[in-house]
Amino acid sequence: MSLLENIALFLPLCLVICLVSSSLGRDDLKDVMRQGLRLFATMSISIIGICAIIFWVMEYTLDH
Amino acid sequence: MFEKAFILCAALLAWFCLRAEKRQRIAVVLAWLIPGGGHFYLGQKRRGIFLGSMVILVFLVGMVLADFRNIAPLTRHPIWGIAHLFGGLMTAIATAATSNLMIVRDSSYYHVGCLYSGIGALLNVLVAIDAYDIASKKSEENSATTQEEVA
Repeated sequence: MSLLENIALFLPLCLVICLVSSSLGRDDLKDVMRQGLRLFATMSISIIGICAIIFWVMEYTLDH
Repeated sequence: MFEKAFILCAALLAWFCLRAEKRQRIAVVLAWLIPGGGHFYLGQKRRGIFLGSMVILVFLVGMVLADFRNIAPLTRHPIWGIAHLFGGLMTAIATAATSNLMIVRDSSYYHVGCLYSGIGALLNVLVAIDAYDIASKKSEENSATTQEEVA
């Protein structure tokens, strides 16, 4: 699987996990959506960023 | 391994059923059987539809990605089998419907499908916990109202 396929498969699952997990302890569905989307943005940016850094470090290590 | 995990899950459920109040017990068992069913029982239909549809969607997408060959038999991959147990009726229906299917070719998305379905079934645990939480709040409200009436 290519990197794009991996990302395309990861993001929707991450979104659903964030939405469902943010529903715990919150009564209002709008609040759940807002918190879930915020969590999704933070989580996906962090994970993709960390993966990009690891990829860059590995590439650098292999080249030198 | 799968049998031991199944017995442990059944024992935990039995222990919970003995300890919990009637409303909490029914809400959790319904939420486990039908994703969002516990919320329907507690009168929170919109929340039940929202959470139930999320869980069912992820589970179904997983099945589609794995060509419907990732659920039955549950003992093929014990770790995913244990995860799928938390899907309740959803897993039972999928197992019954796909038990005759054989793996005839390698699908590159097979393990992704297993992951999606497994996570869908595990998210059902979160939905059941949410139903339990709401049932507990309602029980507390009811007991507070009863105490006020007595006073």
